[in-house]
Amino acid sequence: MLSAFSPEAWARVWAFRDTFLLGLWTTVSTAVLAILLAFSLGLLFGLFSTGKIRLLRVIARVYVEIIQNTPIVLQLCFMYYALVYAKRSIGIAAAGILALGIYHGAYMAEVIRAGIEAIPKGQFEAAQSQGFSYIQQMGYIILPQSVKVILPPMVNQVVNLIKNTSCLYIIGGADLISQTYSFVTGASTGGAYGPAYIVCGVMFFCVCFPLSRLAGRWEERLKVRDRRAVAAVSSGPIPRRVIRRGQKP
Amino acid sequence: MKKIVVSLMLALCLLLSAVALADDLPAGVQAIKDRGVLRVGSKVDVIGFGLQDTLTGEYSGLEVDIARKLAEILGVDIEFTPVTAATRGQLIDSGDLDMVLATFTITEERKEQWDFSSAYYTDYVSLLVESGSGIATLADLAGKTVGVSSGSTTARAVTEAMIAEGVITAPDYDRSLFDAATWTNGVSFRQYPDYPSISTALSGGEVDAFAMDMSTLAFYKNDSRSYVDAKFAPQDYGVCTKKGSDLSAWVEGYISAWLADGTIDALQVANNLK
Amino acid sequence: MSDLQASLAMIRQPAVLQYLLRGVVFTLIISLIAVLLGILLGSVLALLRNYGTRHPVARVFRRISIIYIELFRNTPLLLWIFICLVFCPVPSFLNRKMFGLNSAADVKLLFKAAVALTLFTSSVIAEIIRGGLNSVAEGQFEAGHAQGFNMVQIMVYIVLPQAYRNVIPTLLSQVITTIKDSSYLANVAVIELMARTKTIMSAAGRYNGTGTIHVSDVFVLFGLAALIYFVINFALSCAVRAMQKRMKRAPVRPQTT
Repeated sequence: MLSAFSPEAWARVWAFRDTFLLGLWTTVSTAVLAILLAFSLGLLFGLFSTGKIRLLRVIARVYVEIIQNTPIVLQLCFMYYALVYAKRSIGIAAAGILALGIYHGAYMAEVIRAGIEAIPKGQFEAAQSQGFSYIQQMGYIILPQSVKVILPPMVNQVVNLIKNTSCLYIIGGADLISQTYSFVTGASTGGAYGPAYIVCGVMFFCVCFPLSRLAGRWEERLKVRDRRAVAAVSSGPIPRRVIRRGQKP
Repeated sequence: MKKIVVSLMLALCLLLSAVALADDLPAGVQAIKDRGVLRVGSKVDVIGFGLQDTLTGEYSGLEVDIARKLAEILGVDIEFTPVTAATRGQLIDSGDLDMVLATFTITEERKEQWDFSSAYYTDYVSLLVESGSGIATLADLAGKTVGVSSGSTTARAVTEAMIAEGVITAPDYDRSLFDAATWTNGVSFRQYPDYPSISTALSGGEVDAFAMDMSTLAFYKNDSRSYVDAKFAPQDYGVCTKKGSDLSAWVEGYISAWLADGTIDALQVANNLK
Repeated sequence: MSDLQASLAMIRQPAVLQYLLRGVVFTLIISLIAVLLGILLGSVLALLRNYGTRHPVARVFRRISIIYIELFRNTPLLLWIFICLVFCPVPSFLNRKMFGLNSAADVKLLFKAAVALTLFTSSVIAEIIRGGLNSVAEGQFEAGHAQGFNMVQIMVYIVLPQAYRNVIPTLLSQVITTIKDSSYLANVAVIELMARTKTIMSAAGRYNGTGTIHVSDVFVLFGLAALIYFVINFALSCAVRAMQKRMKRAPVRPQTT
């Protein structure tokens, strides 16, 4: 085993830098597509769960509960293997995007639901009295107002999604984690565990940290505004359900 | 002349085993004896070499038999740990395992990292494809994607075989810089954490061929799959031990003795490998 | 016999079922340990990050805790599992066969993976507890000071108990997250439920008696695993919701005026 800090180990990582860049590219491109899917699903099911139609509310609830209560690794394996053995494989990359999108879509749905529910009832009534349709209400009145509540937890979900691209390893993905592991165990590339893990970690950190920092800032600003509102009205805190990372609504 | 060499080697082996059998075992070997258990990394899914029945936990195969014989000589229990191509080296490095007998191919690079005994079996690399794919020879592989196990030398072996056959032209090929992840000249590779994943990927059309040592491929061969008509890159399997450990010489003493006296031959026959 | 019947017969075999159920036990134990130790470590990190501002030495520790939390929160768990696999030392008393695992190396793998999961979880828990600490009213500190308590006493007797109380539901839901995260261990060792399910899956052709793997095996095996995870996690999340409801009805937090 090469020592973690020996120049040879670092030289080896440098010689195979393309492998890491390829992994980073796969992770980022997978994540971007999965985020788009997750956002679409989140918006759809978020609206379902706050809507008036009972059936849609039930569907949204079932989706969120099933997805949030089982591991993504299992969901990915389930989907990928089922498609392969049904002779309808869509490929590892596509399966990864789909699984990540569906998993984080459930979290996004809850974020959007909480955002919509944070808007005072009066706003809905006001919009209705103006003769707005449901879509118009949501599009012009409700969603724009809830954006500031929705954004921080949503960005946190994006960070989680990027980290979760590592679940692809179990079915043989080409993402950053998988490439790193193949590299350190590879026949002609192996051994440089220390530098390889540091490089991989730094890459993830550079992508994720700015995002979670941004989310943290927004959240902080929201809280300050809440406190001011409380001070101004001095009638107890405004109930606002903000879902934070690692916390279930 | 040949006879003299052979007899000299035999004498050397006997000497080595005599040393090994002496009361004062090397410190590393004595430590295993004191511990009362030999820790061996083995495959769980290679028929004839290392196969575990998941439910009963029973192991069988040539490598398992060799490991059991070594444990028997020490008079200790044996403990098998499932390893994959990607984990076995690490487990030796970290000292979690005393030795690995897991279709571990001896290569020059690996010899710099670990110690190996003499080869107890020589295998070849081949490729398994879905019968309907129309791939029958190495030439048919041009432009295709091949699934390999991460941590194995297979991708490089396939590439070199294709270069040798003239399927790929790579004048500035440098084997020390070969990386399966980024190789795209004439053939590309996907790396998987374990063999079942590659087999699944082959079923799913994710890869066009499953390249591996033939001993491993046998487990994944079924009626709808066939071998490519090529057999290359002899793979010498050896017992892997920690670099520079005194266990290495002790193991080598027995392996070379058993190679010379036909013990290993008999074990190969017993496991249907001959 | 149809494919589905063969698949169902496979999981009805006592040996298969027992093999999987032992995985469930490991999943639960690993997750519980990770959360409990995570609460310990997370509390220290949270206190340092929140209140380590007075003394220069405390400020150094505060920096360290911030770096720790941010480092783990912004990198994947699997990376830490891989790192612990190579670099985490294992105490020698664990160097033997136990817990019904096949080998000492498996025990060590379990330990290393559990360490990775604990380290990772503690960073998340630290942030949860920090949220709890922030919800404790300023007046509580002043009251403590007025009673002649020092900072440590204020923390242990006044602030932490209230902080924990406020975040119990969140901590419980972290158990759910950790149970799910523990499935990442399947990448390195066959110990917990996910890994065992995948192991049976890869040899399903042998166990279902038909010689080949069918799509029904996928549904039956992964479906069973999903059901097990779901039942455990859904029960927990119902408990979380019930608690949240009760806390909302009877606010225990003294309000500042």
